[in-house]
Amino acid sequence: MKNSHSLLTYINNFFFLLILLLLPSCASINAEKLAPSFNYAYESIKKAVFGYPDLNISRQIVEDIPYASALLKIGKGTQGLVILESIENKNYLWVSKDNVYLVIRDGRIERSLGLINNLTQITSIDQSFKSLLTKTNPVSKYYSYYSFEEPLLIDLKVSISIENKGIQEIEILGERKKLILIEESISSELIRWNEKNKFWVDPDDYFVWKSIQYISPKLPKFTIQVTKRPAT
Amino acid sequence: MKSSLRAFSFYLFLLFNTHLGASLEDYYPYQLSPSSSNYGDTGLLEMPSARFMGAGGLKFGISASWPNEYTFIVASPFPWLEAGYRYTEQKTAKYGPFAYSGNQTLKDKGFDIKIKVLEESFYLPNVAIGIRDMGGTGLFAGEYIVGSKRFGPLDLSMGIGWGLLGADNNIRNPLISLDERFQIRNSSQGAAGGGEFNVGDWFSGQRSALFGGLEYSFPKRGFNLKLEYDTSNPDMGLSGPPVDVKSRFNLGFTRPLGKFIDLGLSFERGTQVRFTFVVKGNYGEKGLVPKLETPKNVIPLSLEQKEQVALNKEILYRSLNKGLREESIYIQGATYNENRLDVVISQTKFRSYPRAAGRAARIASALSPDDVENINIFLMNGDTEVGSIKLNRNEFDKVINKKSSASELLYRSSLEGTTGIPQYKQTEFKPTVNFPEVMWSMSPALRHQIGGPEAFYLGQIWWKINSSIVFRRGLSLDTTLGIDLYNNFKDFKNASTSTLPHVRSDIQDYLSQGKNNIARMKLTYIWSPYKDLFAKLDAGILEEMFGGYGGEVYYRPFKSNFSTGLTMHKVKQRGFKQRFKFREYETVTGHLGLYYDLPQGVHAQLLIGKYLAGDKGATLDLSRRFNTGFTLGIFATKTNLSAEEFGEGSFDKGFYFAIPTDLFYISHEPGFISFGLHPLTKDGGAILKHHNSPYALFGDTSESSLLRDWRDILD
Repeated sequence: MKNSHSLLTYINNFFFLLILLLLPSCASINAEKLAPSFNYAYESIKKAVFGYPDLNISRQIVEDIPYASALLKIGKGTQGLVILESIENKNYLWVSKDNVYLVIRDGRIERSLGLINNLTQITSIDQSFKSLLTKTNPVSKYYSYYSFEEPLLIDLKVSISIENKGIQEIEILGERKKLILIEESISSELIRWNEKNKFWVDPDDYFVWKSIQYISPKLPKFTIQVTKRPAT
Repeated sequence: MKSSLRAFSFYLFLLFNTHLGASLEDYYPYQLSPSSSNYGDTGLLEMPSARFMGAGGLKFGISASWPNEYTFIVASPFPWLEAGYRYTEQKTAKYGPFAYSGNQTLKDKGFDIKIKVLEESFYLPNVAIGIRDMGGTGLFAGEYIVGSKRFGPLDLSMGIGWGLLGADNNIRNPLISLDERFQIRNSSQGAAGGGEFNVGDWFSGQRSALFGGLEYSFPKRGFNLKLEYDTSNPDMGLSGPPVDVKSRFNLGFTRPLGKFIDLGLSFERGTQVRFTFVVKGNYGEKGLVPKLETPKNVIPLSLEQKEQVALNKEILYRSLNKGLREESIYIQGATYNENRLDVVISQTKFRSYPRAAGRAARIASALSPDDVENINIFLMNGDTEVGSIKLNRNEFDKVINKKSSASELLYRSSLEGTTGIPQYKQTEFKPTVNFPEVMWSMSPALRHQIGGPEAFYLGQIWWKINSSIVFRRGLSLDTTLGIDLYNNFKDFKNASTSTLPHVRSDIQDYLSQGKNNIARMKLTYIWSPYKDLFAKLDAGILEEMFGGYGGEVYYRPFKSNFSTGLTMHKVKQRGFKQRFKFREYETVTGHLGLYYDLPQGVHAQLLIGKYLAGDKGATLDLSRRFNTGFTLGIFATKTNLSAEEFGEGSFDKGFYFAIPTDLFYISHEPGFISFGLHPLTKDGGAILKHHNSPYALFGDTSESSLLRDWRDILD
């Protein structure tokens, strides 16, 4: 009796193991079928922590587009191309494929549209990078007033402090440039907003080729690199 | 003097003007909201407040101190309701005799509920009424009415408590003036064995107390400060003298760590330090991470290509097949006929049918000749058709180019149920399907028993292998195997003493002896025999504890909010090892199901029939499904068993929630994180587990479901 019980147990176990072995061999091992939820979660966490892969934009693609263009990366998002749509009174309107609009004046973002929270206006002294770098006594500390929508906030007082960090070499899509780095510290004690903007300015004509800018406490940093500059 | 008076008036104005500076608050570095009490509900420390999580909120947490530690889960199915389930560990008392529960400390289960009865306005506060430990042993039972009023960053709460919350006994119970019955509070120990609602005790007893407190937010610094007058004393002195209350003022603060974690630290009763850790989230509004998987960009055909397609339909069908496959949508049939293109699709990637239909229609529109005016997407779940979305192509193209809206598209579209003859059988193009199809997946999973006498958590990490071999449309062999990776089931030592057939209460034997098991191995046939009617036959190992054969029919009129179904199975109990052996017990079980969709995503389900232990009765299940797919539900079963026959808990009841996993992903993926809790595993009111029931497969495919998700058609 004991022997027959052992035999039954043996057959039972054998059959169970056989099923286990047969099942995965029914199809070739596919990583998507191995703990798929964990794979998706891993991908999401990886992108949230390390950022999203940039689009493969080459110098050739930029040259083939008949418009002025720039690379735009918002926070850890995918870096994409923005195209110059129009110029009006020194305001350059750049647009992305997903309808994000940026109004840039003298390299500085002055207005945004199409984001979850938008900068609607910056009221400030009229000081270009040209005057900043050529005047003997430029204003290096002043106040600007930022207005936002979604949610609405008008005239947030922000103190600005500007510092020339000297020449730095950068590379944009394979082209190396020696540019002046201007660091702009922005601070609003009222809401404890403290950030540092960076502008890489051409020493010859004061054109801003690259910048890292914070335009709202609710938005991450904007990294803009001009790949094909507007015709002057 | 004048200037200081002016300054004082100005500060008063600031304090009471809740609108001033509201926009600035939105830009503070921390967006603080009212935090959790020690019991998990939104509140002060030991005392409640009239604040609530937003609808769709769910949090888990632990609040640790001496002698009481609370482990809780709290959900908010509506903005006016918070419901919580809680284990209170009394560190000074033992669960039971050593032979029964070893050294485990006492764990007391309890349900809490809080309902908003008045919404805050400029002059009036939020007012809430709540009951703590309403279905438990009553050890922590307390009731309250509380009001909360916000003045800028300051949130003041004041209320009156009964039961445990009235321990300070600082006023006479005012309800006694209304009715003398409120004088008597029968027990602090609740009903025998717990599990019953001691309605007669609510708001009763000589003792009651006024309590109050404040929560002050520092959004620039990122923490909330809490101060309260505590009228409770939750140390019963169950073993030894109760811990003294040296001070009735408790002070604490909470600090969020990102969007999903709250930390709290407090000093209570003049002697106790308490630490609170809460994981929170709102799953009812939107995904927790943005979706980056936008519809694939399909380049429309050139004029020349369109002419070719018009002459040779095969090119269109093959292009459709390829294009849809890139969206993980599988074409089951297609017909291009003059001004109409019918496409039958099946997919498992998108939970929302309109989203799948929209993505299919984008591809169909881009690939179709110009004369196609209508694109009809026929939707299938598995091998069964569930309905169709018939789109006006011109309007659809305008919508995806942002020249029209989803509402206008709906106005020019029609949503239809099945016709009785599946469309895939009538189409001109029928893709070749090679049967048998083999599908499988594997992943780690958990099995456990929570709150038992041996240990609070006994569980297993289990490698779960699912496979499905499809022999023909609707006919499949579905198998789930489990391989043990780790378990601590050796601590099980309390065999069931139930006087009923042990249909569920032998769970310890099933878990410990069936560590490596065949959880399911059954042959299933699912089909739609008639318009709006779905059916299933299945036979084999149906679930971990039962095998047998049976069937289910489910009638779901497409245009109606009501549906009904009938299940019937002859089952035999499986051996504990869960291989191919069966035990002696067998029975016939089945239910008539009545299902109704109420407003605001509320779904009511009534099952009437015979349960696994042979008892007869009904199960009522109420749930709310949010647009994200997040579902919160409660259920209760009452059968012809008496409370004594049923045992502790008196009748079967529990709650569940299901969070769509893709709320955490950047891509659309199927699947849910499901959690259900029966406080006790009992034999009464036990239902056979149905895998792929027609109700589960087709219940959420009616017109109202498609309308609910309609906006997804653009996404």
